Amino acid sequence: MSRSVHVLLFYFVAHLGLIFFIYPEDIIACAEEGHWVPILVGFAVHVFFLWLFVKGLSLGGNRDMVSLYLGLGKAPAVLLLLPVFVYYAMVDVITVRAYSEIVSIVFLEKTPLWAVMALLFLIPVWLANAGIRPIFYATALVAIVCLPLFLFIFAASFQSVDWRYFFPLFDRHYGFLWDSSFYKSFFAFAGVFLFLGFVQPYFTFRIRGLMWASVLLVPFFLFSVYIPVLTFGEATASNFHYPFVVTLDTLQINWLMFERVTVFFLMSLLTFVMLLVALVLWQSVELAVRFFPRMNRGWTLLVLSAIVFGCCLRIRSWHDIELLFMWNTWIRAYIMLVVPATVYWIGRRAKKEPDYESIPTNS
Amino acid sequence: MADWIEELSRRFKDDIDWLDERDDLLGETVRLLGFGSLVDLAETKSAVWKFAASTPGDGLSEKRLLGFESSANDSKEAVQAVLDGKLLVVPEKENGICWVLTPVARMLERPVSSPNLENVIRGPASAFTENVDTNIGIARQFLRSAMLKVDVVRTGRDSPTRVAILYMAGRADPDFVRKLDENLRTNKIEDVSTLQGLIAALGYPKRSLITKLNSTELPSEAACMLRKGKVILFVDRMPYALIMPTLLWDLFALESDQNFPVYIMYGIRAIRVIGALMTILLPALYVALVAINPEALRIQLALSVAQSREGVPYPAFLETLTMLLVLELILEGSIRLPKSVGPTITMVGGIILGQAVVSAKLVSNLLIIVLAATTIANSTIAGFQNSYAIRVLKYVTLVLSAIFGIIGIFAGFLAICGYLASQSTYGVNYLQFPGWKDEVRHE
Amino acid sequence: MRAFQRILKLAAALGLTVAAGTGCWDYKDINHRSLPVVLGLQTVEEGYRVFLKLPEPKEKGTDVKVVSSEGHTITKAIDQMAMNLESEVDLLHLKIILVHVNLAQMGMGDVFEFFMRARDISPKALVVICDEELEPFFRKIGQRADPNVSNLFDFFEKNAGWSPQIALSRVWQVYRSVHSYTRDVVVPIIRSGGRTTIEHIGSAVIRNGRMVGRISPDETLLFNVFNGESGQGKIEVMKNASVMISGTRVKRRGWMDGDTPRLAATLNLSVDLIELKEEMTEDQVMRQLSEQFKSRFDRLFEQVRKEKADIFAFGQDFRRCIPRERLRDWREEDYGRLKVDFRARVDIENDGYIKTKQK
Repeated sequence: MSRSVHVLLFYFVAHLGLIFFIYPEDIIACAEEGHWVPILVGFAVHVFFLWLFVKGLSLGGNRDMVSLYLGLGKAPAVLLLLPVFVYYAMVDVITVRAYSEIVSIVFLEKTPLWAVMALLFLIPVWLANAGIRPIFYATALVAIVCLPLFLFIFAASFQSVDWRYFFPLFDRHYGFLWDSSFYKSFFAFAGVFLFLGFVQPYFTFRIRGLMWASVLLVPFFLFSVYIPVLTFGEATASNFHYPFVVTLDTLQINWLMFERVTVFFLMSLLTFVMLLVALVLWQSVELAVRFFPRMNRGWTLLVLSAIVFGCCLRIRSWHDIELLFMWNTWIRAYIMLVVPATVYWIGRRAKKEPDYESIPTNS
Repeated sequence: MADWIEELSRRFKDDIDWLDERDDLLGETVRLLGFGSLVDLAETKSAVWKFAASTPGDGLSEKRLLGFESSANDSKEAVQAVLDGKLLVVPEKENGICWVLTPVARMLERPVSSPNLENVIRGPASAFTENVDTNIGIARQFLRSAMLKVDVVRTGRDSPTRVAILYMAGRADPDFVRKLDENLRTNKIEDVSTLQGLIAALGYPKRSLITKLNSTELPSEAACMLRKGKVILFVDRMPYALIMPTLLWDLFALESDQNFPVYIMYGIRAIRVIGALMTILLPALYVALVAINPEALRIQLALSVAQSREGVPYPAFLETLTMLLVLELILEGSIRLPKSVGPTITMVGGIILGQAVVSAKLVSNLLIIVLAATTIANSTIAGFQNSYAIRVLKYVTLVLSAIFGIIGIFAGFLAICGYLASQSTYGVNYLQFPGWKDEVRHE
Repeated sequence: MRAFQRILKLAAALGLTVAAGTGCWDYKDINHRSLPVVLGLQTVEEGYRVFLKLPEPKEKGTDVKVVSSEGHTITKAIDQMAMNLESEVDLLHLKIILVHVNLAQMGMGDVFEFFMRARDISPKALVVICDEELEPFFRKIGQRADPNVSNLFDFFEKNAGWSPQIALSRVWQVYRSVHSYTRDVVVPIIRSGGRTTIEHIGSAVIRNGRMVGRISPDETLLFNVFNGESGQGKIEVMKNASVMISGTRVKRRGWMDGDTPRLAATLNLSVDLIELKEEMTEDQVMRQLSEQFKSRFDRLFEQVRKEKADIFAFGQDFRRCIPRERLRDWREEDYGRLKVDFRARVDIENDGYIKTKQK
């Protein structure tokens, strides 16, 4: 049991990795003005269900999620957690494929996609094999180097911002609730927080620290959308596939020895994303092994990785990725809403049991 | 005279340095057995006589003299004692008794001197020696604490070596010490005279790049490590203290830093960190920026780099790899060279080779600068054995950057961090920060 | 099982090495790339004619080469050029895009769409319009005594030859103005000069990607100042005095007066006195300068309003008052009705070594 810093740090950087690529495009597409409303609404929904989730975990005695579910019986647990398993596999496929595509577009045009995917996927596979503690420790070490770089470039990206593009403040129609892009944007929230249900025997965290980490993310959510909007204006920014990346391309830092800082920013975030993929893989294997203890961990990981990589290779175009995104929406809703609610309910119930036994936390 | 004693003497009879004498000790005839190359017989005899003359009592058995610490009961113990440099005293009259005397030993040890491998700017300059007992004594001098616990284990099969375990009770993790102790005691196979053998005896994986045993010649460092709750091993014939568990932070933080004011200490440590990062990233950055992602360079710099590479026949990656190989050869060679020839060869390697190879248009001069910076940065890391690990790791980023560019550098960096994170010593992860006690409990 | 794992590891290692061996896909040494700095663009009957100014690093110094070719599209033209060159053309370091005035007048919207879509061309490149034929222009540039590569670029470099009358518009800013409701840009116009390398003859007003008018260098200063650039260094000459601007600041506020948009803009100038004729007082100098600026602004504003180009981005100030749908037609409707109340306030910071009279 170590202090919560590792867990909170991972939570923070994993979200950062997911925010700056696909999220701005979706939010800009779902509203024409007053973008802060969909951002904060989405965030509020996420925080509420996050709170439910961790509260349920702590009420259930600080055990990990799978043990809580197993308390209901094996068959219901399998049924309830199967969508999580599927979602994780899909997250892996989408993340690796989408980010390889971005890398290929932005830097390495001639390198074949399978090579980039191999690089972005094999390292997480190896990390997942090493276990959860190496992943968290590696996150800390990588964050020490990459976070300052990221923050510096993020601060510099305010260079060409025209604050008047911020107005008008309110969207008259609030049409974003009916726009599918808004629901696609939840991708940035849903994939990460479930790992909190798996860390328990190895690491602990405090709920309060987690809430503060979430609050710390709010400016990054806001500005990932607003920096492109404030620099280009909504009319232009809505034409771009990756608004924030394009904004980075326009940065002019005269005293730096590098010309284009885009690649450094992207790669810092990609490193965080690779760590996230590693953890997601590890969680999938963990799920499989907990329910079927006779399976060998190494082989399960290998088979799962082979399947995910195969799926990545099969996807031919960005259009297919968008399709996957859409199919994902229902499972994502399940993950974001049903799982935390269920965990909370199980936790409340477990507390009332006579043989309630809590694992002491070491804060 | 017991049979086994006869057998013992017969066994070593052919060795020229075997002592087998009869002597008269306090009126009784005793037989002295031992190795003359380890025992200074004349001094021993005179010392024993002096004590014999000054103590009361008559007869040998009544006069338990100083130095008669124990007896050997069977041939195995006797052989071990004799190999350890002790003298066997066998009284003729009494059957089966074999006393073991710690004699005045021949002066075979090096005196306590200054360290060979480590430089100290501000701090004590005495170093550990090859003798385990001397080392324990030095350690006790530097850490005068009643909590210091010392244990000696004899381990190994062919040539059993004495290994001393030191730790501070109350600071070190008892589980850790227990695991260590067990592993050493139950090891009957490995020969621990080299570190590889010791690593195998302790149960660590053999193929790791990271040395699980940090070594230091300086007692002040060792004492600091003990205070931090780490465990120290002294192996006979190895003139350094082996520290466990190892952390990444040991590459950057030395105890002798604390002899400087606080901000200067931070500055020095920051330089070491930057040095390590530069070693890993700089050659890879050169290859990535020159060959795959030149858009990241400023136009003036890009043009001047292109100019410096004009006429160079190989791709930048091969160029870098070749020059790195040459540098590794120079480094390895300068360790082997005797002190008289060393400086000359360094001059040949560094100046002439570097200058000539640029004039011959075989490599670009920017590369020479990059590699020189890398080599110097490599040496800022604390602990010479650690710099080997970093030297190997930089090739990982180099190869990945040659294929994927700057992305390869970051991916390689992540792979290195992941590798470091997966190393652990009996459960203590390599990347743990010293201030955040994980497994180490404070009482 | 162990043997199988070993074989697997060995196979993986071999596979990776083979992949790595064959896998230097994006690998191209920097001295095998051509890094053009200036791109010239002109329309011809079948499409575009593209000029590239290439630096060629030699062992002693750098040579400069100008190549050109034609094609249906810009990419085709560049491809054609690359085919005939001995190194690969890399457009990543382009600093200046020189557009011929005819192309500007016809409309550059498509061209800029291409520039933004292709990741090759840096969005930070400056856009400049050339008032003479590109072929002789490039030839004259190439013939200069010191064919230093960054000659042209230094003209626009803030640390080198830039002065506040030269507008700086980058590719992404022009692209933004193509799509924006309320913002237009101004692009410098140059031609090859008699004694200097190039001559700056004013700026072009670009509305939605098309050139619709010209303004003089002094008026460009106003544009720069409204855009947030510092006017520092410019010398203003009046009838009896000269001053050097040491700082500028613009304050503006927009509000709706019924159906008429109104804007109050105040330009705060800090100047240093340089030349003074006769017995002028500081007050007189300040008044003269203020009037000069006001008349200049009013003239300029009338001109651009007629051309329906909002180069000062006044529409931005009305984002709070005017709803977005109405703002879409800003240039056509409300901009025409806009009333701007411009005032210039001058502060003389110092008058050098010699005293002047106050009143």
